Amino acid sequence: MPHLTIAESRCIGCLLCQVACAYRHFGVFAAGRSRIKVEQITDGNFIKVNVRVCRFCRVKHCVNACSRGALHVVGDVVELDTSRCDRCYSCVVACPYGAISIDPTTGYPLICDLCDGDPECVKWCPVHAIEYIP
Amino acid sequence: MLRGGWWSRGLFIDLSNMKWRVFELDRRAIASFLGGRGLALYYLYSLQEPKVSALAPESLMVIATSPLSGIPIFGTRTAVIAAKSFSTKTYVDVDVPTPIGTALRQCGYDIIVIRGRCKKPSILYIREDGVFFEDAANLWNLDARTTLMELIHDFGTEATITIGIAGTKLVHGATIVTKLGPLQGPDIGAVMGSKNLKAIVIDGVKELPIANIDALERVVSRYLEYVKSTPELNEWIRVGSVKLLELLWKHSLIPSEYFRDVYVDDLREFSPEYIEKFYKVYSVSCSLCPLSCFSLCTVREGKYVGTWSYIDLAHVLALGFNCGIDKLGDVLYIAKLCTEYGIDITTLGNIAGFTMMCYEYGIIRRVHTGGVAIKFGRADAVAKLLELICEKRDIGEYLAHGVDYTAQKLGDYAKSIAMTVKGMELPALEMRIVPEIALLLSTSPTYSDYREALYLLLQKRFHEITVSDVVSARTTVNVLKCLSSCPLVPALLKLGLDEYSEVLKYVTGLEIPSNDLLATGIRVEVMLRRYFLREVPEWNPEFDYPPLRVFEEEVSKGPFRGKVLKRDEYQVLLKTYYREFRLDEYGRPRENYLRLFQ
Repeated sequence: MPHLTIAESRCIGCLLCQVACAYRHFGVFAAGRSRIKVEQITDGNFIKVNVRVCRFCRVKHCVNACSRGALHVVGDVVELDTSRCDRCYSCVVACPYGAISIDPTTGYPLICDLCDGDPECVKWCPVHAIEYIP
Repeated sequence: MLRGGWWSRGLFIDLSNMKWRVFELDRRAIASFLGGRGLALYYLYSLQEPKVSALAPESLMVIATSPLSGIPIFGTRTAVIAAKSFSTKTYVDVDVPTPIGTALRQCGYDIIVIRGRCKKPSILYIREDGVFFEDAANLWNLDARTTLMELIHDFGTEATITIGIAGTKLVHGATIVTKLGPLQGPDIGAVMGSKNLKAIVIDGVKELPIANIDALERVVSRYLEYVKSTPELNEWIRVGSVKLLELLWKHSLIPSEYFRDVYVDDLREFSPEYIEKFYKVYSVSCSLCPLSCFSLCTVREGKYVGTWSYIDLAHVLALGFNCGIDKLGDVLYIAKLCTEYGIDITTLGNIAGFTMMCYEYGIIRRVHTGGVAIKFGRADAVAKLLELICEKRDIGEYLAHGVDYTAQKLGDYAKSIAMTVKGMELPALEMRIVPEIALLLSTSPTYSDYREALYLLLQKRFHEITVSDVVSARTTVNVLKCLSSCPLVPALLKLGLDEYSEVLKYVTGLEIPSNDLLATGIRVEVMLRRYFLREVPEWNPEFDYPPLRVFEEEVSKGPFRGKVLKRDEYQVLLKTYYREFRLDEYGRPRENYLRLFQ
């Protein structure tokens, strides 16, 4: 199954992947509207980079959690039907990897769709930390 | 709103009565100063009463963005935060590498002007729909690193800035802290502390006003490809700004032990290879910048095992060589304390070096330092000093006002040791080897930013630098600060003002030729001097001279042995500098030139 692999040790936390994602999907430079999230988390007495993006699980917890049938699998990715979504965020809670973020402008959940097989974040990453596995 | 780039809206917040209002920006100010440093300076000059005490409620603190805030690649450091320095009365600013400026623009504002004083410790929470005052009593005495982590967790945004104990105790050198550590530039933290503001959090979701985003994206992609395909830049990303250490060392520009001599020994623990092998965890960049200058390092063994901090070139120069410390683990320990206390690295390095030299000459003794021997090479001595400064105890009572004030109190010999210009501590760069570097560092109308010198050193061969290059570097860096851009990125990506002009065209929809940008840089320089003259009427050209030691103490080691800066040689350089900036013979802006900008 196609997916993204992230070498977190290479990530420099520039957030260009987030801007690339928002530009591809919404035509704006707004890191907050991204389907990939780079964050720094504390691990005991230390800080490390954590990148959250859809893992394309075999068992789609997000789809199963949606009571309105707004999420469905198309090919390899999960797609959102905004006309059905009531923004209850059950999918956000259900994702075991915390990989579904919320669009701060519309309030809809954001799930990676691999940009039709040509992920924008992969192209923008200056340190080649994101790789697309077809 | 103009076509793109600016919202033309500012937010005026009065902390004393917890009220705020939106105001329209002066269009002439936008046209003259673009944003960032220029716009902050304009509002500080026009809205602040002359000679007001920097720590009084009437003083202003300005957060100014630029049209490029939130635009990737071009080194845009999102926002400039400016205020009057309480110790030197000059204009000071810091540029913020985290997304606070982007968030502000996503709220629909270009600038925030803050006035007054909160009745109790507060957090300012700014959103598109209003300004909120949150209680910060429980955070007031908390260190900056913990405060920041708590706030980022609570508010869910990295567009957060805070101050540490140095800021709340109104210490000279106190600065603002972001997730990358203390910002470069003194005193802003104390101004924020005087307003009873522990932190500012901004959260916005509006779309940035960009005139032609598709054309802009093509330029961004072009430079991204350049970054990815250039081996030197890949090396920079891997190593960070400490890569420049070798260049500085090769040209004898690293001072050691409080500017006593040029550092000529092997770089040892500070060599990029050694750092990478034994300390580095990963590289870290500023928000939306592909060039990572910072390294997150941790101490893996020894006294400070487990200590971690972000470090860059400034840490190694100011806290390492200049304090005679030769172990990176020790530098990391002090860097961690600087983040926790919220104090500027350059200022602390200079204060510590000065105290160490005074201790060596017997001007300061153990009885003044809480019983600790403040000797070169001792990280625990710097830690003790920081504690004394923030508690304003023993010698810390003087040092909390800076090196200049302390030297005045300690007498003539201490005054002859102090390495300050206009009352500001100098960055740790050797000034005797290249006189033009001395000129650049000494003539800055605000604090000396070591990145300005690096910008110049990356542009020109050392022995070819002329006064015109100094003027050009100063003007260009002023423009970059108006665009809230870091000077290092354009130097590394070989971006000139023509390239910034192209980017501005796509962002704002306006043709702003590079000559107009240059005029903005000159305008800022004139305005900075005008501000200085208004606040410090006793101005004279001596304010633009480097410290006495640069003229009197010869270099005693290395290829430049015997070299000293000659006063008459410097005088010629300074006169040329004044002439090229169209200043009068005393370094003041000419009357007719001032009228041009009114």
